[in-house]
Amino acid sequence: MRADEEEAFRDFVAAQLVPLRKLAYVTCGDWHLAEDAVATALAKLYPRWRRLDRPDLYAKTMVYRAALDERRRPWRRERSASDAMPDVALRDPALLSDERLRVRAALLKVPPRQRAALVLRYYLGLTQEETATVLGCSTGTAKSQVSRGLGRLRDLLTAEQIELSDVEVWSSAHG
Amino acid sequence: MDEVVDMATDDGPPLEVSVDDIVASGRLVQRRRRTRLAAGLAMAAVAAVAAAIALVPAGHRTGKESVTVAASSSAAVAKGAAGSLLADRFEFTFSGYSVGPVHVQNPIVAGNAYQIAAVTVDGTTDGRHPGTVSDRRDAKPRLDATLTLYRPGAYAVQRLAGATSTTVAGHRALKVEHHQSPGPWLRTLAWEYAPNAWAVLDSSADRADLPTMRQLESTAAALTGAAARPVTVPFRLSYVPAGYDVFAVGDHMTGSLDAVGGPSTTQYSGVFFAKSGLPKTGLLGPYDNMMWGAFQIMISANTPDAPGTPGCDSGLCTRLADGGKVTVAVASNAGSLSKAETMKVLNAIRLTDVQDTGTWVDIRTALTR
Repeated sequence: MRADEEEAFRDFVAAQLVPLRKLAYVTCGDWHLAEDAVATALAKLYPRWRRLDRPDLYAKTMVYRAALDERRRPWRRERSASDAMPDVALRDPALLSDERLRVRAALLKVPPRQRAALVLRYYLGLTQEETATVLGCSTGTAKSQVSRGLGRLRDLLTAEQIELSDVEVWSSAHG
Repeated sequence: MDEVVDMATDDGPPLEVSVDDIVASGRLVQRRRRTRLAAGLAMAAVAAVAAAIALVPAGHRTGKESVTVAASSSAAVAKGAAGSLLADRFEFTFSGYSVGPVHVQNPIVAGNAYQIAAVTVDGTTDGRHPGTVSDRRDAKPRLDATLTLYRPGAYAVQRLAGATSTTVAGHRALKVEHHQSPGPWLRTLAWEYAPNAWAVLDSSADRADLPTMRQLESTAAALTGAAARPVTVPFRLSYVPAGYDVFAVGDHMTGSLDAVGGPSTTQYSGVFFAKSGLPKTGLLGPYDNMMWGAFQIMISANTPDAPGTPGCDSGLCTRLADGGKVTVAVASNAGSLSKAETMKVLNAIRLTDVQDTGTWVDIRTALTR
């Protein structure tokens, strides 16, 4: 890789590390597995960097699939229990932390494919077609995943009596 | 959505990996990849990725010891009907069966490394359950489970960390369970059904007893071979780009190689292509579609829920067939094919009757290039 290409790759990694780790985390539910998935995907991206028109889409696809794979088989990587996601039963007396845990628990109860579809579409701002590409499915299926994920998340947040300002916006946005 | 994701993720631990770490790992992947291309070593990509992962700070990876199992142990394998489970790479050699509330479906994906079937348990639904939101308010527990028969040498049993030894109908076996609240209960039972060939039951459930390890063991013990039947597809294909070959086929499943969710009534066929050199060994689960240079053909129903949109966008080229009732699509993974090549493959597909599996074609003869 030429020096200018590597510099562009570095800039890309610096900008994408955090959002990609969030995508991986909401897919697999474990910070360290998420970070492993992102590191692996970006390392694989390096030799293909100059050949890709949309490295951002490629990276999201790789991260999503790696994170989904990690979620299914967590014993593929060894890890410490101390770094695990906190148990939602241990509620923090501080209201914000308590609500944060309940929002996280609600989000993680949405099936992973639907969860990823929501994050790709609304948090990372991909189009329906781009979301379908990352998920490896047709546009119609991606729309369906987003729609079902929204419904599921709305139900879960309602059950937790959490009202967020943009919940209604989602419900009207996905049609 | 920003608010939800931020609330759920803003208190994550600091990043342990740096840009420098990733660049160093990437350089190593590139070096190993060049080595693989030069030497023709099929497994180098896997080794490179594993080595790259090792470069990432690993202070948190401590704890469980791996169970080490010799790669081959023919003497320990029971003889008998299991031999008939061994398959050609595009054959199914077992059929669906039930053990109490546990139901193994017919296998629906077969390829270079394995054949795989969905597993269901009475009273559960799966992660891809096709229903409306109100349908899911019945609060059925969710289960994603599969039975995978790996071809000899494909399964990396020595990498199954934290497992304990057991036996299944006299076959050497390993089992492992994992649960971390509020995540799913995960179980894996692997047994050597033929010399150096492993069958694996994997389950991920949101309730502890669905299924229990004892139920998985009973299900494993009941597995028997059936008359081999070829994997068929509802089309013939007259063009395949140079260097590519089929490595897996989904029967009533597209877009995935893990069989989770079982067969679909609206997804007819998915055929996955890759260049030679994909790993056929060292697997610890179904292919995750992250292989280099893969593309896939997807034949599905054109429905209001999943409408086909003719044209090409983001590596997915689509056309409608059978009076608009069928969607035919070719998806190029990460730009492995140019748009022109993707369209050429799309236009080289000649459908049979997707509704009549009697007209479907053995995948081994469906490519007429």
